[in-house]
Amino acid sequence: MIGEVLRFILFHYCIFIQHRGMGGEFDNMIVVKNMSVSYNGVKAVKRVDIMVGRGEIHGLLGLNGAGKTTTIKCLVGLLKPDYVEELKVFGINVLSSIEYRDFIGYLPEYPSLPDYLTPREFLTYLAKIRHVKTKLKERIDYMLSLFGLDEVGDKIIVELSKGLKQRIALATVFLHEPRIVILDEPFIGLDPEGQMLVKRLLSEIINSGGAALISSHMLDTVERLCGKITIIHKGRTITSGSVKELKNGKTLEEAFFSIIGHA
Amino acid sequence: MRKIITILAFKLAQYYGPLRYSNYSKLLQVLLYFLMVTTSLFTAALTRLLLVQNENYILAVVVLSISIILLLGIYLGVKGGVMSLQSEIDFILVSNVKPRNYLLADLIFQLILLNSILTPSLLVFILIISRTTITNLINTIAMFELTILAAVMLSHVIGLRKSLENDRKVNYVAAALAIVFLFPVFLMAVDAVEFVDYTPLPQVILAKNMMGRGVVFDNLAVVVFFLCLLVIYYKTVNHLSSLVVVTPLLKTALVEVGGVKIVKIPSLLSIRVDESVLISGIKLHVIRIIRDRSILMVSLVALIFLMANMAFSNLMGDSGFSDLAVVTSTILYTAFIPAVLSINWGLFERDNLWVFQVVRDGIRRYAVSLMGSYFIVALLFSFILYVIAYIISGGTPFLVLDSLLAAAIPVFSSLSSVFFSFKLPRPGNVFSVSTLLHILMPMIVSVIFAFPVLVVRTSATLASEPPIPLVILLMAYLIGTAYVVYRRVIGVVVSSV
Ligand SMILES: Nc1ncnc2c1ncn2[C@@H]1O[C@H](COP(=O)(O)OP(=O)(O)OP(=O)(O)O)[C@@H](O)[C@H]1O
Ligand SMILES: [Mg+2]
Repeated sequence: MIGEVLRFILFHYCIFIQHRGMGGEFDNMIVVKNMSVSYNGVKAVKRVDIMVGRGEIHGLLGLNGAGKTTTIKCLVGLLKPDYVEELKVFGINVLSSIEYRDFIGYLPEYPSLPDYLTPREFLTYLAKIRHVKTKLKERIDYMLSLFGLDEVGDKIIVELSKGLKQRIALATVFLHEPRIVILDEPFIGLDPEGQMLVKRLLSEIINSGGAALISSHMLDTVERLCGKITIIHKGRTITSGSVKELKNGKTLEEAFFSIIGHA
Repeated sequence: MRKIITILAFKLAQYYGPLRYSNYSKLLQVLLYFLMVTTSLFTAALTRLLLVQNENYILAVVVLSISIILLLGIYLGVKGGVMSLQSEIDFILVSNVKPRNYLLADLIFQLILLNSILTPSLLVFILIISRTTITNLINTIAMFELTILAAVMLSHVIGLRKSLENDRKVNYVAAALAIVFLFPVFLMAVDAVEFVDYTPLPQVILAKNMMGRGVVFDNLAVVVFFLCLLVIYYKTVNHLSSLVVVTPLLKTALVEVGGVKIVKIPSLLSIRVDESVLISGIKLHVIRIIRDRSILMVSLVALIFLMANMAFSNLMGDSGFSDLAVVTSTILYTAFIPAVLSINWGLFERDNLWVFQVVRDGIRRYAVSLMGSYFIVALLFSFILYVIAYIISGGTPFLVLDSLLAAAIPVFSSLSSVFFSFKLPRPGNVFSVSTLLHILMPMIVSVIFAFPVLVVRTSATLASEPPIPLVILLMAYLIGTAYVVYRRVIGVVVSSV
């Protein structure tokens, strides 16, 4: 127990030192440099670069099959890239260390949940392996009510609607107060209330110095939510920058198609 | 006709999809066939040797094999009967395809599927055990195919009736049929095997014909049986105006989650905030095993093994196969329990691993608690079966060794089940190749690791009064091996996902 606490303190101290020592560099919460990934020998991602700075909500755009999900999976350690110059999350090299996992919240494209547990059981267990130690019960109750799940907290998950399941998956993302969240199409199936909640939680994260990377096809949402975006086309980053720059006076939709059209 | 072929081709392409794309799957398929054929050759030869030519016993064993096929049909029927994959449910069942055409395609599909599983196992077994002559070969194979056809038709009728009328009523009828099909087993269990010959049940008549022992009456009876079945089948299918009501089979796991009703969990199992992560994890897995009804399947499997063992020991009565062996072999079968559990795990839980993969140390904790829950369930059943077998066989002098075995088998089978559930391709459905491997492999592995105990157990002089140093040595061996295997499995599991 004490050992664990010491390790925790030491680890955060190191992060702190690293952060101070490297000054600007750690302002990049997510760094992907020249990454390529393949499935069974077929290249799905050829050359992707992404930089997400501190306090930034970063949008990841691209047509179906462009390589967004593949990129995201590499970032959270679910897939190994063939080649990458730099792959860092929270200043930590994803390929050589797993400590960064304590700081991230991840939502997959198709979140599959344990059908036969109740949301409360599932979240409680997750909070435990996530080392949420203080006021665990209160935390679970809070998360359930935050995501509007208090009424279904003790039903088994298989009975719940798609949107409710998406809310549970999102609750797992924010459960342990992550510094960085990586969300693959988070708004699918969510009602307007749920979407607003996610936006609020995201702004809370960036206000406290965190960051977020979000893939989405909803251009109007991306436009309002994200400061910067990266567009991936056929496995390559074709452009990256602030929404304002990229729009250049046009709507985001027009800009998106003209950029992709030129690629 | 073209429609039927198109649907059938679609079903086959879906079902055998993995075989088309992955060499690994092909290899597994070959391995599985090899295992099945050699196991049935071996079992048949052994049984034949032990049964010493007693025709009554041989008939009984063949009847048993046929009963198994028919019971499989009933089981499939109770679970829905029609085998539709998710894509068929979403796109074909809602289209304007005629129910008759779809069902015929499914009938052929199931014939192919069951043949691919039963031919290398049961047919090989029957051919060896009944010492079929070349002239009778055609006859045997024909009867075997008729049996499979009957099983598929039964499965369709029961499944469709379930969606057409009162679910519960059909379940009762299915249960009654199952009892009828199990009747010869009951005769064997009470050591009245010579009466099997005189029971005018379809499976007995089929078996007699199969062995070339059928008289004119028997041939007639087979014809009448199939005519009845055909009429019922035709009437059922004609009732069906749309396929939308069909409850598909392949979607569901080993055990049906009937009307989703949350099962009451004893408060001992509900997770608490202040307990360790490991305990919570084990509890949650046990809760899932109870809620997704895997526990029912496990109980059923245990019951079948107990009965089969008793029937077998009665059959072997004359040949010196001791009652005591029942205890040991019953314990050996508990290796199946974690294996059966891991199938539902593969169907329901494997997709959820992402949750734990993105947590530091999440997969290790998850896998350890999974092993823990398998071990607890297996140990519980192993203990219950042990006590029952012990009482039935009137006690055993091999208390020490059998208890060692009763603890060792659950340990090794839960370790290896977790290993194989992470390493083997996920079971596509209940009847896929990998499903069978998920069941077979842990069984084989646990027997291998518990082998030293088995060796001592089979040596009569050592087994009745094992010297204490030997017992200590065996215990040390078991604990040491279990630890090494545990470390290895955890290492592989953590690095494999
Ligand atoms: N498991 C897989 N096996 C083989 N190829 C895959 C696999 N997953 C993705 N791909 C391929 O990799 C490429 C990128 O897929 P990815 O899922 O990353 O796209 P995406 O940008 O997320 O698209 P979408 O907007 O449709 O979600 C596609 O060409 C896809 O066909
Ligand atoms: Mg995607």
